Amino acid sequence: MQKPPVAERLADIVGEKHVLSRQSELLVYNSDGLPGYRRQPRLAVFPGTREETIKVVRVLAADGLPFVPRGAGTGLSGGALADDVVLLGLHRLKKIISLDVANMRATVEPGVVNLRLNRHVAPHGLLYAPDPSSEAACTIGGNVAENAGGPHCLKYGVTLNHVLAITALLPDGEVVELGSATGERDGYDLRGAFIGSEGCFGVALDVTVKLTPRPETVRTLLADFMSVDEAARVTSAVIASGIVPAALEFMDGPTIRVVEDSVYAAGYPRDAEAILLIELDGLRAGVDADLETVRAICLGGGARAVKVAKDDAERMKLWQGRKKAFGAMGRLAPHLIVQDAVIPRTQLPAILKRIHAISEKYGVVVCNVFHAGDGNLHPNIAYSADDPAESERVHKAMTEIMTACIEVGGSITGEHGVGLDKMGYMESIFTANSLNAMCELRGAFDPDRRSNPGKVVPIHSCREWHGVASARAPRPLSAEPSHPAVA
Amino acid sequence: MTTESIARTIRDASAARTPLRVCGRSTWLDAGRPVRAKQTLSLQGDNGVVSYVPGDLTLTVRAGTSLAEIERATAEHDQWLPLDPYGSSDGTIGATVSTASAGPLASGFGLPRDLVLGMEFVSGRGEVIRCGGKVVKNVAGFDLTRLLTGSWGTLGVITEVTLRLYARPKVDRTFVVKLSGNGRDAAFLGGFLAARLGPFAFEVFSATAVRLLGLGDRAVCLIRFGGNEAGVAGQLAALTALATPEEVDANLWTRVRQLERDADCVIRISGPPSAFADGLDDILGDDIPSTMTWMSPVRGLVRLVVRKSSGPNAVSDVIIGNESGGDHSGHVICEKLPTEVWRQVPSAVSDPLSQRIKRVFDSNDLLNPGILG
Amino acid sequence: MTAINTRDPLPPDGMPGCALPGTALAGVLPGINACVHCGFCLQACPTYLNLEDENDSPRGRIFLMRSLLEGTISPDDQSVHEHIDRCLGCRACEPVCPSGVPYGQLLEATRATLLESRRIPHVARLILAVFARPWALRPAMFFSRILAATPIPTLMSGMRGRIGFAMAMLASTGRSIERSPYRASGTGERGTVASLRGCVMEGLFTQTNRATERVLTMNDYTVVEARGQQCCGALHAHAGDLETARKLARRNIAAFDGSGASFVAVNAAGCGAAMKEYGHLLRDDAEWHERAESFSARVRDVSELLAAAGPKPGGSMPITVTYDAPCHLQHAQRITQAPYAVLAAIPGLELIPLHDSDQCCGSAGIYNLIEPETSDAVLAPKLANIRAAGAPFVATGNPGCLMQIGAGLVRDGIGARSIHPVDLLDASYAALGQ
Ligand SMILES: Cc1cc2nc3c(=O)[nH]c(=O)nc-3n(C[C@H](O)[C@H](O)[C@H](O)COP(=O)(O)OP(=O)(O)OC[C@H]3O[C@@H](n4cnc5c(N)ncnc54)[C@H](O)[C@@H]3O)c2cc1C
Ligand code: SF4
Ligand code: SF4
Repeated sequence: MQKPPVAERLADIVGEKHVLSRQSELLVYNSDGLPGYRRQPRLAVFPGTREETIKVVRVLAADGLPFVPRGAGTGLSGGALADDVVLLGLHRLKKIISLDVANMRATVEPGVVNLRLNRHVAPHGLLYAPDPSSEAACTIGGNVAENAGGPHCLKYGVTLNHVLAITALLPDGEVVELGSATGERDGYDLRGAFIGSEGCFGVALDVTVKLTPRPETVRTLLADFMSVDEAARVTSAVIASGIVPAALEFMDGPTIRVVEDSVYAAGYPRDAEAILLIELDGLRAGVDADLETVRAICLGGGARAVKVAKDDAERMKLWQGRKKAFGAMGRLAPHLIVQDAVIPRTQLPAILKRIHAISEKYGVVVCNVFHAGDGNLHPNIAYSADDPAESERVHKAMTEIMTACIEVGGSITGEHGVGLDKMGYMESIFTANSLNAMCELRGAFDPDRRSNPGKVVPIHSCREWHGVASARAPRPLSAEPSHPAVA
Repeated sequence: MTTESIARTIRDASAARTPLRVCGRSTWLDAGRPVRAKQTLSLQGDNGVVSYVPGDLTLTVRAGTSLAEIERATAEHDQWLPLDPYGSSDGTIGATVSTASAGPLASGFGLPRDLVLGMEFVSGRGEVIRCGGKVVKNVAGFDLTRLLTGSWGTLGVITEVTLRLYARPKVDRTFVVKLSGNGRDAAFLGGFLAARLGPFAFEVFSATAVRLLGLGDRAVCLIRFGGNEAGVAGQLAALTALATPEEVDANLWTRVRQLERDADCVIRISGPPSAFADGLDDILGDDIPSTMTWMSPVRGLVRLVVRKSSGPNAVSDVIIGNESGGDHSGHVICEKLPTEVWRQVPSAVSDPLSQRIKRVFDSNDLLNPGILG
Repeated sequence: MTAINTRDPLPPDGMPGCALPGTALAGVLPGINACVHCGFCLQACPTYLNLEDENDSPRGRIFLMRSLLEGTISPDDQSVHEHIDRCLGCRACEPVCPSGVPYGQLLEATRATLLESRRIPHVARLILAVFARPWALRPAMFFSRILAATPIPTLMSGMRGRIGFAMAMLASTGRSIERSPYRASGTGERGTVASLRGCVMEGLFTQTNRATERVLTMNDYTVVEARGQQCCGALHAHAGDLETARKLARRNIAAFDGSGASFVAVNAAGCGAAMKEYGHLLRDDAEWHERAESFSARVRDVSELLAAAGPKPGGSMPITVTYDAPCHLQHAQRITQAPYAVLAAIPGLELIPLHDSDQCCGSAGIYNLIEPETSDAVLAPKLANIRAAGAPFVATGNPGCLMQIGAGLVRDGIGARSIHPVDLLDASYAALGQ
């Protein structure tokens, strides 16, 4: 007997209106936060509960269909794009399952938006430390998949350091517990391996996170400079001083002015060539002493002025400007390329000079706004993709910037992930053996490579896979002869 | 010794199907299950700093480098690797990372998984694999670094490690608070945790342990504060509001790390911190002969040590008592047990996923066979 | 140099040929291009939160607009109409957008463009036609008012569907707050003000319009009349009928200019938002553009005028009130504090915070009559929050919200009523004399 088409079977599980198969309705799902790439899914399905999700994945497994998990689609590496395969939207799974105030942990469904979790725990004097700038939109599931960071990860660590356990739904439909919600455990650190796996190891069904007590005191400094180089040197000096600020963020002149033109104008000095936003937190006495040290380093390093936020409102304003900076760049030109690279922190002054030289060489405007304390750069270029000559120059400039970062011992991504965008760079930082090992690790979670196919590690790096690619490679839905009536 | 020679050894062993016992300085070979291997691969000779840029606060060393050597190298620049696993600083960084060993400083600085930035290792197939990097933030590729950390050498032989360092605090002071042994102790612990003072270390010791440390014969808390002068003064003031602390020499921590020296059995019991606060008296009770316990309330961890001379029965009593007793949903992690008791303990890597991973990296079960069961 | 291969890192997503040249939509391409696809607007959007599909989100709708221009979706594709129709036009997506996407303008342009390929839905067409014609509007409102004064709406509000809800809306307009007549007086030194009577306001909330005139007088404004004013055209613009909207705008500008007033006071947030954008609406009208800009610059929400004047405290009124922010006040006009200033002028008034008061109530002009399901879904959490707040009055400064919330309260039997803040202040002034 012939099975009904996949779309129908999925609709039986999640309800008619949560399965999209009309081309015109799938269009909006063809890019994530990096609209430079577009890939059209063949079908989109949005389960509303954990049980529905498991059933959906089992139906897909039974038919050998590849799928791409998606949270809020704010990723900046094209990670959640489904190229003619099924898009599995997890944004409807948005329950906060439990909150254990005494032990400072919470268990949430993957679609819970980062900021919602923070709002939920705030009344208890707690916070969830990883705070990507996209916190108002991105989901915890997406954060886990990308191992998201944020300004305050300098002191508190990234997602990896704050996730205690994950219930993962493997692509074959099996449900496994990774890590432990109740304590430390032995065995392989499977939770560690899953974090940052970019949807290639399966779906995070729920996540138990560690919460952090709100610090007694928070002080935020704004130091402004008339030279990028001075700000870079001060950054290195603060890090070398041994003080670990809660955050140390850098914004250059073009970024400052874009932000000041937006609704998130923060009162940054428009004429500055660079500002540093430095936050210190902890016990009042210690923070005040560190504040003076940092202030002295800034002023000694050429800062024109150092301003300390008077109250919470002023602090929030300073941060809003920083957190909405990417978005604000939309004002500059129709298209924006957001880059993400990491360098050793002592290389900051040198690399910023290189970036400046590269931007002059190609006649492009680079806006730098980044997590300076971690050496995590975000050189961004606003441009018009309608102009092929300009696109070409932007492309070349970006490639040269990335190469420069790799040359000083850096990495190609600090928080946005590899996805589709960075795959081409993987071979420049990893050996064939390392890439193959990653491929095979993925194979342990997803032997048929059906979860988020074609991402992170280039398929030709997978030895075993390469050999039998033609026989076993997942076929896109359109090439699925036995299921012509998918949509 | 070079990575290539290690890889060759592994490839040869693989060809000959000779399982290997991987070790560092062999200071802790009695931990883990008995290993079924004839040949030993020691990394002791492969030591030294590969690169160290103090301004970056990162350090890359060969796996055979001892913690003491790292301490010396970093101290010159007023920095440190805040990792103090039980035992001594003679152990190698490779073994420490492989076994994910940590000590009291973990309450303030996290576990090895939080401190390792990247590594090089040789898989059971003899392939050299590099993962992670030398920068403090990195999400390029799947996280083999985390996978290898704590895998007890069963997936690969770690040959090089890059670590995150911290600046040494200007002030580093240790205080002891004597517990009263009555109901007020739980209140003090709760109050101290709630005060969120962010200590570098915070451990509570049972009376047996305290006697060994020479601190009297009542259970105590040891608290380590670090930071700038004003900060530590503030922490101390807050502590003084809750209890009567006495300052002790920081060398005490070295003695703490040696508490397990004559141990026959070391197990960790991990669970939600609140479960321990409730059962504080039981935990510190020392009611099983020759045992001592201490706990890290911040981590939700109790260490239970049975010292040599007590028979194996005492050990199984402890384990079985802990697995059945109490309603806390934590975990029992065994580090050291008499051989005959190990057999009663289920393996933590017997699940199908872990088995698939093992096959990927060491399909012939060449590396430390049996150590994880 | 390390060799690097990147696969299409910069596929051109520019727009080689526009599929809909010369349309209103093509005119707002720069606004569409400003969207960087960051998704920051998703959690602000009531339709996305309720329907959980990005096609019903700001980012998705902007993508649909872009696709219309690119020609990847045809303007008569049914699903586009559905998703664009479902937009509440609440503009909650605007203040959160770091890139400053003028969503409201994009929406109007899209609706105008889509209108050409399809007629406005039947019910909507009828309603809009009535609003554009004073001769039809007056009797319609009169009939509604008579109806509202009888128990009929309350009886019929139990009925299911659109009729039931419409009746509940009417039922809610019959309930305001008791106050005794008083004579308003002031120095008049704050300048002349002509107030927009508004079609719904004048039709169904006559009392509120009179109260507006009185409280402005009490706060030292000189109230003058602007003869010949008409419906503000907001509903038409939102529905994409830009021509009618422009026609109405020109008439209003003429009428208010004729009154010589320094300010145009508006007590309906939706109308105020539209009138503040006459400049944009008439941007291509060489003759009217400048006049429209200067007109828009004079438009004030009544709460703005009152807050600027203090406002003067009234007589004591021991009541408990919660406040719900109309979308068109907080998002479109970015006014958040002024209404609180109005309430604060009432001694004895206890203000209970309303959870999620910044969320849309689902009214959005005539939306509640043409997209009843979504509207209901959006309203449900609002009613739950009002119930939890437990105050007998819900103050909100927009007729759509007054009716939408009011109707929900009647239908669900919640012991609270919606009321314009100006009515509360007016009652407090009335209490002064006693
Ligand atoms: C303006 C802006 C600022 C940003 N700032 C930061 C920043 O400061 N720091 C930072 O780290 N990132 C930042 N990002 C990137 C992005 O927000 C993060 O990567 C975020 O974690 C993605 O979450 P999402 O829910 O949108 O995931 P999506 O984009 O939907 O998906 C991202 C990846 O996760 C996978 N995935 C999603 N959900 C699941 C799940 N439940 N199970 C398994 N896999 C899943 C997808 O397959 C995909 O590979 C920013 C993005 C924008 C647009
Ligand atoms: S917030 Fe603005 S830029 Fe971002 S997706 Fe929404 S409309 Fe576009
Ligand atoms: S106007 Fe309101 S309903 Fe429409 S897209 Fe914006 S937030 Fe959503």
